[in-house]
Amino acid sequence: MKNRLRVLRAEQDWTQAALANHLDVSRQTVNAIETGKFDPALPLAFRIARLFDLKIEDIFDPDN
Amino acid sequence: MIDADSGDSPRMSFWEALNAGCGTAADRRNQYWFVGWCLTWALTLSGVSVYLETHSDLRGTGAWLLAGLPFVLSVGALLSYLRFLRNADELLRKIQVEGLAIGFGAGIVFTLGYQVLERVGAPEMSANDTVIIMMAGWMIGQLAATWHYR
Repeated sequence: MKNRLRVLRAEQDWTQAALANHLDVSRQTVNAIETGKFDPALPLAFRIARLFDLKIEDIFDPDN
Repeated sequence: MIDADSGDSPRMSFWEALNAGCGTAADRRNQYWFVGWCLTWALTLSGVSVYLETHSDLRGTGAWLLAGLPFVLSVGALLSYLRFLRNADELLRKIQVEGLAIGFGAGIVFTLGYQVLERVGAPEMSANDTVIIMMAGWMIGQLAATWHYR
């Protein structure tokens, strides 16, 4: 599944480690989501959406 | 300059992934507990085995209690691993589960397959060898999953 996490993180000028800290996950998790290797479960997807004040579908694109 | 942490590099190096793959601070704390329980269990198991071997005259309730002590500690180790797994970072949990699946699968496949080899003359395998294969499979599985999700 494609996502805009990398772009959103760059807009905030956050490192992967900083974003991981905000989400209470490991940096590897953030990296794996950004590269599309790993799709987060709903609770983490909601945490990401809330952090950027967006809807889940504004970040994750299920059609890709 | 390429800096994976800043997001300029799309993929982490394997060593970066291994380092970051230890999970959050809470994961590391839970891992320490698990390792602590495992070490306690292993030391107790070794100690009890040696003691029972050197005191072969020991019988009765005392001997049973002593022999049962490693089992009690193994429950603690198992529960600490379950606690770690249930609370682990999502990706770390996925890596662990893939590692366990590979370890379990390797153990079953090797054990059953080796029985056929024994019939044609391969050296007999002990139950301990199966455990070693499973542990090795678990470790290799974790490394392979870490590589995959880096």
